[in-house]
Amino acid sequence: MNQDKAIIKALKTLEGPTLSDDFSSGMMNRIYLDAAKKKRRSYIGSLCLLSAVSLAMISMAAYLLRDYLTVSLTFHLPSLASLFESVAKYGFGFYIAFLTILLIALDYYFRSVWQKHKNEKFRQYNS
Amino acid sequence: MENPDEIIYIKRILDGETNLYSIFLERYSRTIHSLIVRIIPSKEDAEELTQDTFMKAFRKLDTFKGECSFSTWLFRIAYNTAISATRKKKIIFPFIDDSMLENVSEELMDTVFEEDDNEHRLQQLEEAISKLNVEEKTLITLYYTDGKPIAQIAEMLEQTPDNVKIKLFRVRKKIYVLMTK
Repeated sequence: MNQDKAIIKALKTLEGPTLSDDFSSGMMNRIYLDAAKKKRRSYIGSLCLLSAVSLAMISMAAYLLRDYLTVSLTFHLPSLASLFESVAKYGFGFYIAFLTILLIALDYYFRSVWQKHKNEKFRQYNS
Repeated sequence: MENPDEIIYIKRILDGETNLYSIFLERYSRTIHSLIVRIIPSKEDAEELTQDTFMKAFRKLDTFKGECSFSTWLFRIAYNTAISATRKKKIIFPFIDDSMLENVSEELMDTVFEEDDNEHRLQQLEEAISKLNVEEKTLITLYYTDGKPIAQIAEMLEQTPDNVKIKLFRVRKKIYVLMTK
């Protein structure tokens, strides 16, 4: 079947106009526009999501404050006052806050090390 | 994977280095265009369809998992783009009854297709090829002009290699029938 010279020759003559010289540059312009549009869309999407989550949290807080906390706040106030008696009771809170800050700092450090390593690998591969 | 660097380029493009897409354009635009120009009936639309192919590939780049080579994936997009463009234009291709294809002599067909110096026959052959549908033109273009192996053609058209072989034999017969009609 591969020896069908006549078909090969006929297919060669069926070639039409060639691609214009500025095809790649024109195409890249369209690609850049599309990429910018995609970026903008994802930015708007995350902004909408963030707004929706914030709105939901604010609504929930408002609901709790109105229907639940207003009643219990007056009820718990005397016991809240007793908390101020001893500063040592805040120790645990400070300990948790310290741990959280430490973990965030470690996360940031390891992320930057990993990113640096990744960039180095790409550079080595391309050189 | 034919070009292992392509998967890295794709990751980088998805990470925001859009300019790297020009590598794929340089590598495949001419091949894709020459396939499209041969398989669609209207040659003037070939450049526009090549553009559509590359735009679709860029938009779907995140769905490319590297299960086949990037070129195979791109050819598949080009083929589907050409198919839908032809469908939109509602072009009717000549239908040939199976009984007509069964009666074709293999030996006679081989003799006709091996001769490449008979101008009249070549003209008949060109006319016959232009009457084939998009799938049939794609099959013979990939097999004869691009010299792609059956397995790769099967991957591109999402068919089994046996199915591609059968279809290629049928296309040969159809060309012969259209030539002698």
